[in-house]
Amino acid sequence: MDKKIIKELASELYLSLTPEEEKEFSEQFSYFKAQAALLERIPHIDDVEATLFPHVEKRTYLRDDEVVETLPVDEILSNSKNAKDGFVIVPKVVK
Amino acid sequence: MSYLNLTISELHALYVSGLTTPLNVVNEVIAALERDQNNILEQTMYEEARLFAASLKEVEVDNLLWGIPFLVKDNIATKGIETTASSNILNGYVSLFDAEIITKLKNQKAIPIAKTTMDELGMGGCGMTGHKGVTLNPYGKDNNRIVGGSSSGSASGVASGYVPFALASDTGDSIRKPASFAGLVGYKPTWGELSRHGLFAFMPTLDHLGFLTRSVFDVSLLYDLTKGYDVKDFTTNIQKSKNSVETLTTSLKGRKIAVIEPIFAKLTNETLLKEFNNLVAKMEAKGAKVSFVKFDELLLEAILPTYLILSCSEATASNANLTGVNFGNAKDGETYEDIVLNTRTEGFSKQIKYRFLLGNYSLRKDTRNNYYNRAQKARTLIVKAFNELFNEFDAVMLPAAPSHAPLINKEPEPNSEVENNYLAMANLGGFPSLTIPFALDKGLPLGVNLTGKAFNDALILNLGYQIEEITGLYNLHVGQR
Repeated sequence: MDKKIIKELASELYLSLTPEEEKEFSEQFSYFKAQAALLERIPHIDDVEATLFPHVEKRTYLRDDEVVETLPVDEILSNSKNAKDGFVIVPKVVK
Repeated sequence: MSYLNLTISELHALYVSGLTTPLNVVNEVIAALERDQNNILEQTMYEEARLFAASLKEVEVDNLLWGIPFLVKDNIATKGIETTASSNILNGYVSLFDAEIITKLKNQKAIPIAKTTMDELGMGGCGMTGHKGVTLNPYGKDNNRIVGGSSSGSASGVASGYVPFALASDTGDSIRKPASFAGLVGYKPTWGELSRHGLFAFMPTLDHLGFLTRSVFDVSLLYDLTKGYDVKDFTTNIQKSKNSVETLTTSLKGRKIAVIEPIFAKLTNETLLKEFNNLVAKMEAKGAKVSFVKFDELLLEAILPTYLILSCSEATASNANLTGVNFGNAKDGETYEDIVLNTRTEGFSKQIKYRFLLGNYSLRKDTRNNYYNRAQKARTLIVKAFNELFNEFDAVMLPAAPSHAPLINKEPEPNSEVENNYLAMANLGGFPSLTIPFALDKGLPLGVNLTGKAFNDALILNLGYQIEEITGLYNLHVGQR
């Protein structure tokens, strides 16, 4: 695998890789591609309908119009390292 | 008297007879966990457990889970307790709620006592990739064998006899492979039978919750008491399934079992082959019909790549919320993007980054048809082929792993990927799948797996119970009474 593509893939994932990781991942991709190539050997594979879920039951996802308790905002924000007045603080986004 | 190494039913009998109390038991379990040498613990809940145990005064004779301590895999949310899925990116994250399965067990008066180590974010099969390092198998005289993963701490803890059961999760074989290596009963029910509300998502259409125990009765009991629709998890099944405990004793007479010959032919461990054939003979003597059947080998070879592509792809999406901004172990940065980049770069191990790269590559516009889309189609064919088998047979039965637990520092034996990874077919189809011990190889457990048609949970557990009766390997553990 081309290291340029590895870098692009990492960048899209908000990941930074060391040169050693880039080299290692580039080599490991050959195993992945060899595994994926096994699927090409299945006759007419691309004409098959895709499976998204193991099984699907007919149902409605509409819920009764009932008030339910939700977690307080302050509690939810307690897991953020930088929260104030009900908001998460981040550096200015609009430049 | 020691209260370790007991099954749920045995411990319950002691409570009913007044020979001990939940507090006595919890104190002994805590003492044992503090002596543990196998690296099974993430966080402990000792004080909460002691308080809960002390509040249980009047034994509930008809409630077998009353006062039973249990371990919890660290990708299952526990209110007020740090929950990291053994990943540095979640260091410091404290769950605000209990997973639905925890709520159900607490309502039954079962006592969660500690969180257990795992492969990071559930992605791994060895128990070596979590942020706390290698989790060891209690079996083996030199303490140098893997216990398997990703439910490594849960498996090691139950095999050590600390508690009668542990909660775990299974996306490829993460309950059933460690069960094989640690001499345990490991069960993942039909997809959608147990609510996954509060389970950290890895690949939602393959993720299952389940249990590790030391008896089939215990796992059946847990399944019966925790299954059912949950409004908080829209993927739970609406249709009511049969309870399993009441049919455990149904005989094997007339049961039809398939052994997939192309997988069996790849196995080379002599003890395993001999013991498996012995088991087949004993099952047939009890009236079961066991057939070695052909199976499309291209589809067997397709199980691993299908699992790999789908799981890595969905994992990139499932874990996209791990940015450090709203929660988690945030790192500094001058911009929003820097914070996310630094948090994810420092928070994920190399293995997780690699899996995400594979997933991202499989989902790209120019490669998606050849990877993600094709894997979804292969999934259709694999599931269809197994369902055709289940129309003719009650279950597929095979050794759960090619051999006993491997050594930590030794390369695995040169098996092919097929016999090492075939268990993922049960995740692709959402099939109920059970591993139980069936023999020992130089003191190391060997597991056999039974997998059946979706919603046939009671039948699979019945078959497992009957095999347990044949092997006599009930309540296998390494602990000392």
